[in-house]
Amino acid sequence: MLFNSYLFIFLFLPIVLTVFYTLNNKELSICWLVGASFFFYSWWNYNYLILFILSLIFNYYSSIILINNKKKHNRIYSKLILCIGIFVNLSILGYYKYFNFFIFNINNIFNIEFQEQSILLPLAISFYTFQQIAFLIDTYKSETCRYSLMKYCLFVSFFPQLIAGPIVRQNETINQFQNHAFNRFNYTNISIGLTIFTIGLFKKVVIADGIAPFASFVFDAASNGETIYFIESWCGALSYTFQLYFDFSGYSDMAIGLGRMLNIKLPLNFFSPYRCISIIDFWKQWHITLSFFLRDYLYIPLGGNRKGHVSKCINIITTMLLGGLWHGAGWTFVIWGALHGLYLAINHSWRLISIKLKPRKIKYTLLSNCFYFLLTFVAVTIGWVFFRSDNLFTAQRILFGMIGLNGVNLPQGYLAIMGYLGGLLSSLGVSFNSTLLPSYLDSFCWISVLSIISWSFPNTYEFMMDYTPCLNNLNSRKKYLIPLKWRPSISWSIIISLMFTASLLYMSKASEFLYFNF
Amino acid sequence: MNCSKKVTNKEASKFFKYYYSFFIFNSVSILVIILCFVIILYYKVGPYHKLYAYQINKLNKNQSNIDTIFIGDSSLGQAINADLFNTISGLKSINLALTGLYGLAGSYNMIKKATKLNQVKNVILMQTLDLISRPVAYDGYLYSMENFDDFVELTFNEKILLIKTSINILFSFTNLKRIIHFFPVQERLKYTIENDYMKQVTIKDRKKKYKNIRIHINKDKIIFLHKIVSYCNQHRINLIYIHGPHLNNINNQSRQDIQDVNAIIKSTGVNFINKSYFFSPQQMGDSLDHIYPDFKDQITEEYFNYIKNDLVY
Repeated sequence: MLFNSYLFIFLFLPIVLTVFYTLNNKELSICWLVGASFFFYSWWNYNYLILFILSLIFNYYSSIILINNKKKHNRIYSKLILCIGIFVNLSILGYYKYFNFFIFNINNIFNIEFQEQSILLPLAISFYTFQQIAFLIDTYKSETCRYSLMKYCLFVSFFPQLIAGPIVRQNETINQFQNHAFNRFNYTNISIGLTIFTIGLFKKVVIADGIAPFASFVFDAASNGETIYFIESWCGALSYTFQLYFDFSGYSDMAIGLGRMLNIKLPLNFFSPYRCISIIDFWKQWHITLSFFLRDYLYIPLGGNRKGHVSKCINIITTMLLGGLWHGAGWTFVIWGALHGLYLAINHSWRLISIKLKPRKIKYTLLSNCFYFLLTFVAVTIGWVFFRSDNLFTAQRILFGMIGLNGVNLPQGYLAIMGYLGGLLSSLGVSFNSTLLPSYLDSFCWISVLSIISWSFPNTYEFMMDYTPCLNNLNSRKKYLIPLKWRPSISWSIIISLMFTASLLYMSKASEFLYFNF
Repeated sequence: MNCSKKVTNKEASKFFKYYYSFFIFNSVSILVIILCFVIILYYKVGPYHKLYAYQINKLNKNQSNIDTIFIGDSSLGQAINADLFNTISGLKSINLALTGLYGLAGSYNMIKKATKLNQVKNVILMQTLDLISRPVAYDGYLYSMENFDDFVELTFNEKILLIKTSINILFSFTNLKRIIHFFPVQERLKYTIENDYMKQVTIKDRKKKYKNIRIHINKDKIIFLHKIVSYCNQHRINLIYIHGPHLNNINNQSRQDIQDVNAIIKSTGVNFINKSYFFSPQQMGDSLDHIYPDFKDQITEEYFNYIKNDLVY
């Protein structure tokens, strides 16, 4: 079931909320939410609900063994249980997500013909596997308590964040289930939740789905072997850059809004990442919960920065490469991850060199900030080309176009419109017979407007900063005065209602979220 | 982490008002949307409602005077001159072509309407080749439904799908636009009727438009063809299926697909005329399945020759 479907908005959500707030007993409310989450999950494919439930039970009882063993102080036995737990989780993930990728590569390398299997990737398996591995590690480190099976199930399966995050940790949500006001109807939370949900819905169905066709035209054409010229390749890459951001941050907003409607605050997942002036900052503001997960459960166990700068860079690249592979079983994802690992390594090295050269203080002027900002944005956009492409050849075609190797081509009509300039461009080698995009003007307009929104408009959480919209403390992120702030007023109610109605009208063809694939 | 931190009474009252005003505004909006939908259904303001109204008017004017009907999409509308067909065949026919949006579902409703008003002997069904690639046209069915009986006769699954389609149409932004266009001046619509069908648009560079055409077959898409066959058998009407004219390079690209399409159509038991229906780019108009208006008469004669032995006189 999709958040952006009429079934979810007009049937599932009202029923879940009504029953949740009608039940007087907190334990019953938890059971109800677990049941609703299972139903939500099984709507996609009920066969994989069994796998999901088995995974929940296995991990829950593994954690119980770890907790019981803690009293006996048998560290080797605990480590063994933890290793078995992680191994089983990764094996399931490996089989469903990477088996065919592995066979494909083995066949190609050794020129043999192992049979690939028809495996349907269970929805959200990457997310719930990571969340449960984190829980096992936290339990091993004695950072968790013993929770009831129902609370554990709700922690993992909580439908707002089940499918595509935010990836939550036990200390972030389970404590909230124990709150005495957990199932008490609260106008404040419902209003804030509805507002965040509506903003997310609008971002997804109006903005992300609106710009999506421009990215698809270019990437599909590249996939079909067509030549992609300079302007078209940039249009495609930038369209996808904005599509992915508004799609995924829209989903995260919806998840946070839904959680808030159920009196649960979820952690922040996006905070205007395209405004960043370095890749290090970008990963602190893009898919924040995944970044923290990779840092705490992969980068630090690998050694982190404990063994010098070279080791730190190797660990960063390894972490990001595995992070890329987590997104999908394909070389494009591996390259995307490795590329970001390399970016981060270069960025850390640059900072180190800068500090050594100018130990007192590094001055950031407006001009240098603009340069760093553009460099970061272009680097991220290049990364998204690999992320979106079906294969490396598609990515190569787009990248060749972006660096101008395929030349510049504009639509035929532009020659007449441009007049003298058209003639000049033509003499410089610019062709005027492009037909790839249905409307170049529309794509330029979309990209321009979304650039302005993502670079200079306050994000959802800045809008609502006064009402603690998410779990994180946002004061540390408050960098400038926000002129436009949300208030529980009639005028804001009208604006949000209009956004909701517009979303309803645009979502007649419910489309999946991009991150459902991961 | 306490999510329900204490708020002041003044602020609680603001949230209370905000919450209810949100619901009131949205309820009003949804009521307006529903009203638009009711208007759309009542006046049948589909995407090609002017064409639909034109064909229905034609049918009403020729009541009890028709023995042959041409039913199909724009490939038919642009290809067959019913007056010429009447002259060369001696039959009394009309061309009731709609568009691809109405699909076989719309064709089915048109056949039912036409046969209620006339003693129809022949139904000539002509659709574009890639019809089987397209989703079942429940929207076309909805826009051409005459009464509630048309809904009742559907199977349970079809009813569910029709309802789902209705919900999608209900929340369609274009509904508002259509109503705005429909009420003040109907003539404001972009297309006009010419030569007994919609006027063709001019395409500057046809070759570009025609590249990479493929047919992706989905056998489930012909449920309404089964209904048409069964309806015609029940009413002892001679049903003939023939593909609309197409650009000849489709044949080169999709030879196997076309054979598969033909096999699926034949499997319904319809009298399928498998003749050459491919034409050169010079004979084609604004789309790969629209004959250029100047060739309409020539194509009508060719199609008459294809089907003349199968017609009931």
